[in-house]
Amino acid sequence: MAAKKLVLVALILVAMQAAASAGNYWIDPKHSHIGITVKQMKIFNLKGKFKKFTGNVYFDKENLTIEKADFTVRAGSLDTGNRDRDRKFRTPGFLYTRKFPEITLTVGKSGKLDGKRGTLTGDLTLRGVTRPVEFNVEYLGSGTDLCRYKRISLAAKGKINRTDFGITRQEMIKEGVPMYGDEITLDIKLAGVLLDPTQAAFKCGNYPASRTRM
Amino acid sequence: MRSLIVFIAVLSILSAKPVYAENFVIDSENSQIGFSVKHMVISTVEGKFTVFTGGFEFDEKDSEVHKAHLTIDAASVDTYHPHRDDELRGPDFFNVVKYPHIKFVLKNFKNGEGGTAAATGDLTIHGITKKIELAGDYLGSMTGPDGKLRVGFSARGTLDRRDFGLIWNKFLDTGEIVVGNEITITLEIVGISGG
Repeated sequence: MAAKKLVLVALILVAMQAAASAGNYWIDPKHSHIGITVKQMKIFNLKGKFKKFTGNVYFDKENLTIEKADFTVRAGSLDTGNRDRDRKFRTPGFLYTRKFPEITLTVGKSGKLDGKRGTLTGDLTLRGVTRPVEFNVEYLGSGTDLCRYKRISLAAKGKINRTDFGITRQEMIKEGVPMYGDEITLDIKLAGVLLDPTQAAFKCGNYPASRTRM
Repeated sequence: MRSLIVFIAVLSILSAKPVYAENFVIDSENSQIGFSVKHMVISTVEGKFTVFTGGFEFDEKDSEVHKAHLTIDAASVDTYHPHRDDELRGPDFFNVVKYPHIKFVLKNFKNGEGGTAAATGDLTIHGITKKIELAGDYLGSMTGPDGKLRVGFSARGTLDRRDFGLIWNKFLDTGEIVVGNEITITLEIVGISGG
């Protein structure tokens, strides 16, 4: 009987251990980036960044498994280094941000990384169209910051064809040379901070202000 | 006598520097001066400078850059977080009041295999000038909607910010630094012929 109890306690401890290694990581926007690259005039690289986004990643550090993840990106926060162009990208021919102010990415299917790398599929909703997008994901490690918050770092790369999402506006420079390519490369770098369920809010650093505001 | 003059004239043409090199002005709307630095060893913070001017002399025949210069407004640093940008402009980092400009002057350019190139130049940050090496790719040329020729390069390089007196840091419990010392520079340069 005592032995049975011991086994039970051991099992509970193991279960707790597994649960302890998995956690909900809040995406720290100050140390995360959502970048895009598109070919301009066929040969040049036009780079941009979405400046406003929020996200959570449920990650199991021991088993290197992304259990789920969700991101919300403010479509109108795209910065390509030129205000007129950014304004143009907000119009109906491109992101149509007035009608579709948010871009969302949901990863619902658990994905175990093979070693530190893996492939993960998420549902990307862009300009009102939802499509699966495959990402190459890399786990870059963990650490404890100056506020003693536990952090992880992940990187993800993917490619989409903007016409799949109804972003079809084009400007032709000349025959065969479009101003903007159809293929968009996504380059995501994430810093996650472990949300401790006992903590009502981050009490250290300048996080409370930036935690939920977008 | 006449043949001698012709001979000298021909010789002087042949020995002259290539005349194909054209002046290009850096198109600040379509170029990007980016950088990245490690945060807590594992994460990356990226940023860019939004205000810069520059130009280069480029010979399309042999894809050779003869001269290049770039002046960056240090205060235009943009890491997408105004508070952090203010700190970067301040005395602990760029000290933009005292050192308003970051400058680059090309010293040497060498073409490599398959459109790659290696360049060295003098980089001045925070009032300190050091040599920097850049590895680049020639992206090609294209005539724009205004009829002007454009050429593009991607280039990257690394520097140790401490070499430029940018030494501010904090330390984690593990003894590791919060902000990395190595800075990666990522350039996307588009030049417009004649400006």
